[in-house]
Amino acid sequence: MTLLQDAAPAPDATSAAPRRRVRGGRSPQDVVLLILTWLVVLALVAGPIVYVVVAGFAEDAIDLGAGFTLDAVQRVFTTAPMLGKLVQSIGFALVIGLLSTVLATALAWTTVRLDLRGGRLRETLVLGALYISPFVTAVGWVWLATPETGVINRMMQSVGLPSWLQPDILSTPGMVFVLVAHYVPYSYLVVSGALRGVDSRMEEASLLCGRGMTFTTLRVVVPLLRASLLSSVLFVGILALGEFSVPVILGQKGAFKPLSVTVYNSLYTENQDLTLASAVSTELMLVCLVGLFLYGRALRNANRLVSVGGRGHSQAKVKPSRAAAVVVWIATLVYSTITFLVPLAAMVLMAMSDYLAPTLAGMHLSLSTLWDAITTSEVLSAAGNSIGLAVAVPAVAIAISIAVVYLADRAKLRTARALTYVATMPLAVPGLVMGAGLLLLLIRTPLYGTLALIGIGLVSISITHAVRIVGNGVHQIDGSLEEASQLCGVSRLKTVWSVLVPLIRPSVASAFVLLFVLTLRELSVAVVLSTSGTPLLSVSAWNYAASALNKAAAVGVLQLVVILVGSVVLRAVFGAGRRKS
Amino acid sequence: MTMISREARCGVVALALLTTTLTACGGGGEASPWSTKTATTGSLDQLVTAAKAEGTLTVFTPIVQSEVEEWTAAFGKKYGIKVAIQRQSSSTLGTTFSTQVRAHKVEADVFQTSNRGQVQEFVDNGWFANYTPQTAAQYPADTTIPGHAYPLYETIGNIAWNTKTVPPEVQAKLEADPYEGMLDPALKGKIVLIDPGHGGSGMAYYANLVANHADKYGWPYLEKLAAQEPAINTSISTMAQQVSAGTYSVTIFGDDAVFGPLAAGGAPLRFSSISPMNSSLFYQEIPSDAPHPATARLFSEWSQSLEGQQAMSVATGGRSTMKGWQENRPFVAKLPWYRVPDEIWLDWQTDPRFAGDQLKSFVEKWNTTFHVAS
Repeated sequence: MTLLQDAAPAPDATSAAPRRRVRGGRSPQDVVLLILTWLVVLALVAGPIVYVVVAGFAEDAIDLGAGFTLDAVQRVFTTAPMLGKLVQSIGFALVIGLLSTVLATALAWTTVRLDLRGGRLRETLVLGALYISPFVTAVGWVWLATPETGVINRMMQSVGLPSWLQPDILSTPGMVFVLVAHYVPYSYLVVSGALRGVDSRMEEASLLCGRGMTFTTLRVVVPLLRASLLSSVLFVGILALGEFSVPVILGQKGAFKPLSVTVYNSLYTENQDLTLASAVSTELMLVCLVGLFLYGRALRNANRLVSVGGRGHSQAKVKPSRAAAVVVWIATLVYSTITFLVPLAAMVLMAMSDYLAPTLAGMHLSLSTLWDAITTSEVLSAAGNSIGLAVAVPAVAIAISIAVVYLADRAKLRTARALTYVATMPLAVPGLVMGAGLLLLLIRTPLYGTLALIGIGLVSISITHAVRIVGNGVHQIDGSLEEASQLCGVSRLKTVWSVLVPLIRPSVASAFVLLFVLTLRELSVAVVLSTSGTPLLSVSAWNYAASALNKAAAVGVLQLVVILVGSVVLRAVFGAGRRKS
Repeated sequence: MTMISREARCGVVALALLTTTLTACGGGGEASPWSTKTATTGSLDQLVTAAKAEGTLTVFTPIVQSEVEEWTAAFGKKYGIKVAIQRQSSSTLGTTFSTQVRAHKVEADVFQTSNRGQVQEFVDNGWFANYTPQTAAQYPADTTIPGHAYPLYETIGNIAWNTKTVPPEVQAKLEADPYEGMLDPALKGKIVLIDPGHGGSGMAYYANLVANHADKYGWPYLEKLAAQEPAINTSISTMAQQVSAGTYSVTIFGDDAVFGPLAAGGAPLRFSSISPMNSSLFYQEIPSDAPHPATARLFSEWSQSLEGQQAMSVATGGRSTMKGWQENRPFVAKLPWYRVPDEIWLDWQTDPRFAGDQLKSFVEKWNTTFHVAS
């Protein structure tokens, strides 16, 4: 999983690489590879970003030759309503980032530090929400938790619970709840990875000195995890800043609508204003870049918190008491039931109904309804396209990322580190913005209306994840193995293919599975680039959400099945490959 | 960061070249002779042959996807042409289409919408082809934009409610006087409305209240309705599902073509209307740059024929305005309580009070009344 602290190519990461490299000078192959990789990364990443910025000043965002104006930029950057909305959007995103991180940290700590039975099942339950699109979950929650009429609300009424205790999903807290539930797995992956790297003896020492668990957590664990916690807050915050689908669905009772919804509405509602959409997108990008800058400043002196050194590293797990284990398990089950199992059940029930009704008894549930909904030619075509992209996008993104990481970490050519920065830029750019940039940039080309354009968009936002994960893998490989190959007369690029790539296979496998899931679920870029000839599951579900909620749920169920089956198949394939090697 | 700024110069140059190249691309292609045909007289054989050669039809529609699929399946089966459907709200279709037109990348062969103002704007822009189907004279003249847009179907307004979540005494009120019934305290927070700023047929309901029932309802009524703390949505199709599900209990946007089939299928829905009641007409046009111009014209001929209109009303639940059309909507036979209002008002679509700047003023006043940010 992508960690923010690693998203920018950490200088010390490269300096940690072996220094006994064979320095054969700048090989022509490397230079050609560098040029090609620069071209690809500029086209995929920098192109749309620059276009969005320029389009914010354009009279006509599609035709830059029509002239330029400051109207949209002035409106977005200087008027009180828009600035107010910006502040609210940042606050909204930070609250989601903070809550997700707090919850994920608690879950991660119990996973990493406690020796509990059924650890793998527990982790699967914690990560379950990762596999469902947030707007599909939102659709399910609308049916479940609308004041007075939601299924849960009616059940609570029937047992005499007062109305103020009943949930209201059509509210800003409702949006926060759905998004936090969705983003906790992201934070969990970030924090648990870092926690595994922290020497448990530090906590043991604190406890032995008579400090309680709360003190130890706040004064020992949290400072040691500072980088990861900040990374998690920022990473989730950026994702939340670009998320528009949940606020659109849950904001119908006048709840606050963030700037991402302004971008979406500027692209697709009656009063279309592409220039305004571009200007707001630029503002969102700047906010994210400022966030990354502040993050970097906050960690400038983080070396004093380094806990993994050359000495031995302890990963001792505490055996909790039976009562504590039961409490942890119950908490996990409650969490996963609320965030994953209940919306999943709602989704399946909605998908099985001809029409929605306030009670299950009135819904005429039938598996054939679900089957009919997912076997239409459009949905089957969408499934085929989605699966095709979910295989192709990770492959291309990983190939590019290997080139980027090799050039920066092994070949160490000039401009290669700048290349890494550019490749990881999408981390600071909401998906909707990347999609809008690619649409405006490429709509006049023959690529528009093809699956290739959607693939390009998805690759552009996936490279950053792939660079990070592959980079982690490469940093762990001692360069002496490649040196040995080169000393035997093998060219540098062939060495990469025959030595480095096989060694980083676990990282490649992790990146592939993660990108497979993210590609299948992705909506922000896909909804902008998809056309009637290139349906995708995520876009079909989104379109159905505006006309047939039961069909949106049915497509969501199919999407989940494809993700789960695909993940299992990929793990089996990569597992078999590892055993064979 | 200084590293980037120093090294990025070459990247910026490369990017500029790349961007220029990419934005300069596109366009081209030889125009089909059918793209300029304004009518087909006599036999359709040549048109059928050309359409079969093109083989594909893409329909942009705001009507429920499954209904359009069922309807166009008859066309596909008759001529062996594959039909692709892009279903979005009227406003999203309009913006997508306009973006594609300006980029010379039109995807739609047939464009359907209930937003007559938008149709007129696109006609004035030259974005819709001039084509008159053979049956054009069978439609009332005031429901067409001659040579460009012809009626697809008509849907009649109603006030709709959920029979499971609305108390019986309030249901009685809604049947007797639906608009007054909406103000019942029991419905506070349980009403869902359409944002008129999103275009489409939602505007018709507000127009009817303000123009035809100003004495009894008008803006004062809308203020009382706003005090009921309604939710605001953008799609009648979504609202129909939400009222059916009980998420909301009642709406004044109960298009019979949308709510009727759901109620006939067993959903806990009922609806009633007043007179005069607003109706909305959905129109169909052929884009000037339709990628399959012969198929688009053949579909226009078929869909505007009596055969196409009868098939349309069965599949979609919408009424046809064509002379000779016979009532055959399945939900009408299944809902004995369904009544067509005595007087149907369609003129809002051409009423200057609900177009151009006056429409903008109307929407702004509505935004203020309902506390919605513009």
